[in-house]
Amino acid sequence: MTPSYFGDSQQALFGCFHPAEGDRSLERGVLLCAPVAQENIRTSWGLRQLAGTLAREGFDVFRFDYSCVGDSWGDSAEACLGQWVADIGAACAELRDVSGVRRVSLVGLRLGGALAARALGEGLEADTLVLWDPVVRGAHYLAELETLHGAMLTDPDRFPLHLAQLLSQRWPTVARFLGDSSHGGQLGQLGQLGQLVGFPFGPPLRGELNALDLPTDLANTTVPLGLVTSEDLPEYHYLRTTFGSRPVVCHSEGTPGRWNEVATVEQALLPGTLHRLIASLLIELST
Amino acid sequence: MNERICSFGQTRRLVGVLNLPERTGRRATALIFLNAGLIHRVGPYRMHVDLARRLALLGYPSFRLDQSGLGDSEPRCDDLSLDQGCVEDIRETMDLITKRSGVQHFVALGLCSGAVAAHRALVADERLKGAVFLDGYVYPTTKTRVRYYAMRLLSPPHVARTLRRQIERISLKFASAAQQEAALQRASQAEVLFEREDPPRAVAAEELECVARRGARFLFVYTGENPDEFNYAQQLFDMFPGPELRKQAEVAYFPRADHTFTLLEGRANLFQRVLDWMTQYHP
Repeated sequence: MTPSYFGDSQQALFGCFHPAEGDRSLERGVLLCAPVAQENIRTSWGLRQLAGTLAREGFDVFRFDYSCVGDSWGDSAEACLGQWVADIGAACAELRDVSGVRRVSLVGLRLGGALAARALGEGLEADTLVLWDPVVRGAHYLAELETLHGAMLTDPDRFPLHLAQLLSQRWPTVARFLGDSSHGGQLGQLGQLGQLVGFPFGPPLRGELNALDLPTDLANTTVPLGLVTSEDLPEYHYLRTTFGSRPVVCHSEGTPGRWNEVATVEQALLPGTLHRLIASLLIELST
Repeated sequence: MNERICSFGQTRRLVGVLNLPERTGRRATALIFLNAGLIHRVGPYRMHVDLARRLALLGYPSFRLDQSGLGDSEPRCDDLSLDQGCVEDIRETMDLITKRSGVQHFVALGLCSGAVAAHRALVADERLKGAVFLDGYVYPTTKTRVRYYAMRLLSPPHVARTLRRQIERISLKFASAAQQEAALQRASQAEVLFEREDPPRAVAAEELECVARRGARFLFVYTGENPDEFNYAQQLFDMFPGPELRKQAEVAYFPRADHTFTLLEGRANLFQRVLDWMTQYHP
């Protein structure tokens, strides 16, 4: 495993190359396209494990952080969907450069799946695309994040004193007893301004996400598709029926990602058997 | 960017990111970020990256470390205990920073299990001149309990939560074995990410006093997520009443922040407090 920065030195992206292990090289590359924001943190460990599994199966694997995400350059508040799509192109070029392979598959998890489809639709060359619990409609994804954020704000296990203080605003004696008077006038504003689940989501990014539509982007590419889902959702049925005319391999198994639950928002995703499934899917799709 | 990925230590199995500001105006103390639970080096909500870059603007070098077996670092392959291995990781990190930058003084910053790691390293190595403990060791006092129960009585959400838990507990008694198993699994999963074991209070107090005596500075930060454990700033000095610690430590209590500083406002307040503390005590 070789971690490094790549790209423009002022706008460097973090990447990590996992070369095919032993003498099993398949002469094929896999680019892992991660989710963003809190889902990026949750899945970092799982994607590292997936990279290791695929490398042991003979793939040259590259994972990376988008601009304004993880260890890459940029402030989270400046994140931009168009830049993330461009980053996938840069990471793909880096994978080909460091590994020497020409044939590359993309694996996209959650929003990473939709970003990978957009990159392919805009002309990025790749052999196959595997979507793992993909975000299908950007507007729906934003609505889910807003619901989750609201649930976190009103979770008495997470913000017990925040809630107590909101209610005690009417009784200053109680507020003084609770011990923090430094932001008394702003209690009702906390967590409301341009943020979702720990990350800034300003109007430009929300606008881009609202317009994101995975089926539209998939229609602009002809690559064979793999679909791996941990939950059986209606939008995944829709993807299967819409793109059934091209090679589509679907699997639904594993521990549910529980992407929109307060209880799991900070739990590392441990994909279990999904790793081997994705490896066999990549081999199946490109033979 | 002034950041470099480093693979280092025995067999180059440790990974981290060194942020090294320009030589002109570079400060003499570097801050080392430690893993919070299982979260990799970027920290909860990318907190370590944001704070490292703010520190760099003030001239402070920093290092975002993945400790052994976490993030991109491989597990240790020696016989050291978890505690010893953790100290050794931090020592190897300090060696690397000194080699790359000449900096010889360090401050460790850790949240939860990271605070425990920072404490262990501070006790073991005098190159560490201070630490920022985020929701570190905590021992409820009598006053903590009195305040907590008073808060519960005064707070409708607390009352509602207690009622909800009682109802869940009762309904679980009548649930199927599978449902009971699922509930147990959910509870244990929730604890995995930030699981840790604190030493006896007297041991922690003695160690802190000893480190304070050699001149180390501390910033203890506590959040409001667990008011049954910590709920007033002066609790720190009730838990650890040593005279040297009182001289060397500051407390920042953020009652409306959660354990991982989810809200941007809470993180901004935290960053400002850490930056102020660094410039005051590690200029």
